[in-house]
Formats: sequence, structure tokens, C-alpha cells
Amino acid sequence: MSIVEASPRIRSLSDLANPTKFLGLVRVVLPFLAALTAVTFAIGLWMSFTVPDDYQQGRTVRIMFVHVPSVWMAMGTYMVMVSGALGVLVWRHPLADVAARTAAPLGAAFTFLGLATGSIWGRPMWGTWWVWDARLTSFLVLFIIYLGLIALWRSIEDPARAARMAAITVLIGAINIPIIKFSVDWFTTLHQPASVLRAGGPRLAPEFLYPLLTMGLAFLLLFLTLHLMAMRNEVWRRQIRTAQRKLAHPSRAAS
Amino acid sequence: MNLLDSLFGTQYFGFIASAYGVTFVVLMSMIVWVLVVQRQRRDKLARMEEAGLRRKRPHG
Repeated sequence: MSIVEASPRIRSLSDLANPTKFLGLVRVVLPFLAALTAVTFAIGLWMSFTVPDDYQQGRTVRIMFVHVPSVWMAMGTYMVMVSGALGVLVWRHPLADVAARTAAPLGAAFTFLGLATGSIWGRPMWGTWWVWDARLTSFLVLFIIYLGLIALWRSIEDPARAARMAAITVLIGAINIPIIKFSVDWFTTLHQPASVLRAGGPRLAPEFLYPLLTMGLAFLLLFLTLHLMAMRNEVWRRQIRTAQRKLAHPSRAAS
Repeated sequence: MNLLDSLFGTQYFGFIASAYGVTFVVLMSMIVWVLVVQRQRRDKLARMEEAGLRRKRPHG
């Protein structure tokens, strides 16, 4: 067995704090997760393109099946980073910073997708590509927060200090998540109120709701697959860095 | 054109195709990025292992 593989002997959840055991689990889980993601996307896309036209929006309702899951994942990924930040600051979990750091580029990509597809959907429905209302602006702020965090992680040399600084920034930035969610209730916005994740249950008709939930699941599975792969890449990066430092300073490594 | 018409319609073809197009490009970019980095790191670790910079793990 080479160093890029590991034995997947996981007896309890706390074993996953050990990066070697985590790598072993990833090796076992990843093929199934990737296959499930592909199948769910195939089903979701088929459902998305066989829905009837909406009585108001016509065929543009199909944009919803990529826009809404992107937005869900943009906000969900940030919550993954929040749990990672808590792991860094409270429990000092060895993989917490790895999880938060590797989620950031994925979250930025989903946020970009939410902005882009929302803008494309807005032009035929609202008559404009962009408007500075509370929902759109707070979502743009989320994108800027993601970019800022990626820059922060890359700009601080000391990994422990970078992890702490980024964790604090992630927790401060989390204030924006409820603002995004409730902006459509607190302010007058061009953006419509929530129609799926709302008190009282979804307002969407089943023929639109089920394709949306299926695509949401596909996006979630894709995130989980890519996040596990990115986490493994980051663990390997740290292993390479440690080995290179030992090579550069053998006396320090021996002590 | 019939397939494209059934998927995207004619009135809003550009908008629907653009939304799915940008989604495809961004998601594929994420996948390719992760795979490229994975390959680079795996190769680097293998080279270090060959050079004796890291000890191989025992089987199991």
C-alpha cells in the first residue's frame, strides 16, 4: 500500500479526527458517492426538462432547477465552513481547518452560479439583469466574503494562525446568512419570497417541487464528492509540506 | 431543432440555454480543478516516496 492510500479502520466518529483514517474512509466512500451523484444528476436533468411550462413564467421556469440548488449550496457550504470554524476554535479538530478551507472555493463557485443564473432568469422575468435589492445585494456580499476568505487563507504563511484568523472571519461573516434568508421578508425586494424552505411547507406545485428537490440532492451529492476529494488533496498538501520541511531542517525534525 | 425546441423553447432559448450552459461550465471546472490537483499531489507524494523522503506504510 502506498502513502497515498490508507487503511479504513473506522470504529467511531472520533477516529475521523485522524487524517490517515479519514483518507481511508474517503477511498472507500468516494466511488459510491461519485456514482450516486452522476445518477441523481441524470434523473434530475430528465425531470427538469420534462416539466410543463409554468402559467406565468413559461419555459423559463426550468432555470429554477439550476438556480435554486446553486443558492442552497452557496449558503449550505458556508454553514459547513461555520462548523469547521467552530471545530478550529472550540475543539481544535485536526481536520476542521481542512474542511473549512477546502469548502471555500466550492462555495464561491456555487455563489457565482447563483448570481449568474439568477441574473439570466431575471432579465426575461423582471426586465433587468440586476437590481440592488436586499436579497441580491446580500448574496453578492456572500460571494465577496468567500473571495476574501480564500485570499486570507492564502496570504498567511503560518497554518495555525491562518486557521484561527480565517475561523474568526468565517464566524463574523455568518451574520450574512440569516440576512440573505430573511431579506425577502424584512425588506421590499424584487426577488420573490421563499417558496420551498418556509414555515407552512413548500408552495410549489408537485410537478415543479420534485425536480427541484432532485436537482438539489444532485448538487448536494456533488458538493460532498468534491469536498471529500478537496479535503484529501489538502491533507496530501500538508503531508508534502511537512516532509519538505523535515528535509530542509533535519535537525529540527529529529528533535 | 425539435429537440432543442422541446428543451429550451424558442421564445427564451438563449436564457435557458445560457443558464444551463454556465452551470455546466462552472460545475465541470470544479470537477476538473479537483482532479488536476489530486493528480499533482498524488504524483508528488509518489516521487517523494521513491526518493525515500517518506516511509511506506505497511499493508493492512
